[in-house]
Amino acid sequence: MPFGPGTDIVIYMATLKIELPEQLHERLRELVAQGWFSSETDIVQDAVRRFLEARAPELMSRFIKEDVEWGLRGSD
Amino acid sequence: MTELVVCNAGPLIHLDQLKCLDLLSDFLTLLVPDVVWNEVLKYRPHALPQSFATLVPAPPFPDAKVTALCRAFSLDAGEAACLAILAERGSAIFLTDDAAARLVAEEMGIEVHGTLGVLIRSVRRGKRTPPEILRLLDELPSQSTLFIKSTLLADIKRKLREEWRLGE
Repeated sequence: MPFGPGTDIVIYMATLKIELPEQLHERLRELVAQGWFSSETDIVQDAVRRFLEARAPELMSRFIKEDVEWGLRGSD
Repeated sequence: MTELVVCNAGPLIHLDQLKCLDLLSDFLTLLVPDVVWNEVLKYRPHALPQSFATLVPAPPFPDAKVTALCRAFSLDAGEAACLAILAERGSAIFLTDDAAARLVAEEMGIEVHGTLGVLIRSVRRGKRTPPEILRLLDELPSQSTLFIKSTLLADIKRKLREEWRLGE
């Protein structure tokens, strides 16, 4: 169904419990305190999103297939 | 033969696990940032500096664009050191098995390959036979921490058997 005025968008959120070294946690706290992010959760969400974008399955498949081609037919 | 190769920790660790570290000697000059070598020693403590690898320090003042890209993609110190060296050296190959590092390298216009490519290349270079490499690919999931989805690995092995005209 297309979204439009009056349409409710519900985003379901999962809750994860993570352990971080204190030093890393301190850096998260600093970023929030300095106003770069609204919360530590925002930072973790952003970091996970970026990690997943850079490791998308189709991207990893492409890299591996390119490796096979280079291995077979590279000029070096 | 390729003039210059800069190698990240992944291929060093994975090739060592497969007892194929010698394949890196088939590159004319292989540079390994010292921060990368320290990382390798953490996971493969028995690995000793190889005579074919030159350990180099990371550039003290890396290119600002490289630094920004490394931060944006959350690359670790070893990956950032490799890319900083590559940015300074110009024409060179980057060996890494990390998808994010590979993505940044592509953005920088750097030719980049991984462990799998080095293994397959060894046949083309006459350093290994096709059956040897197929056997290594069979052993890959149990002998190495390099992860390749099982269906994709099966496709690759099938393609290689065809290319090398080998039966099942």
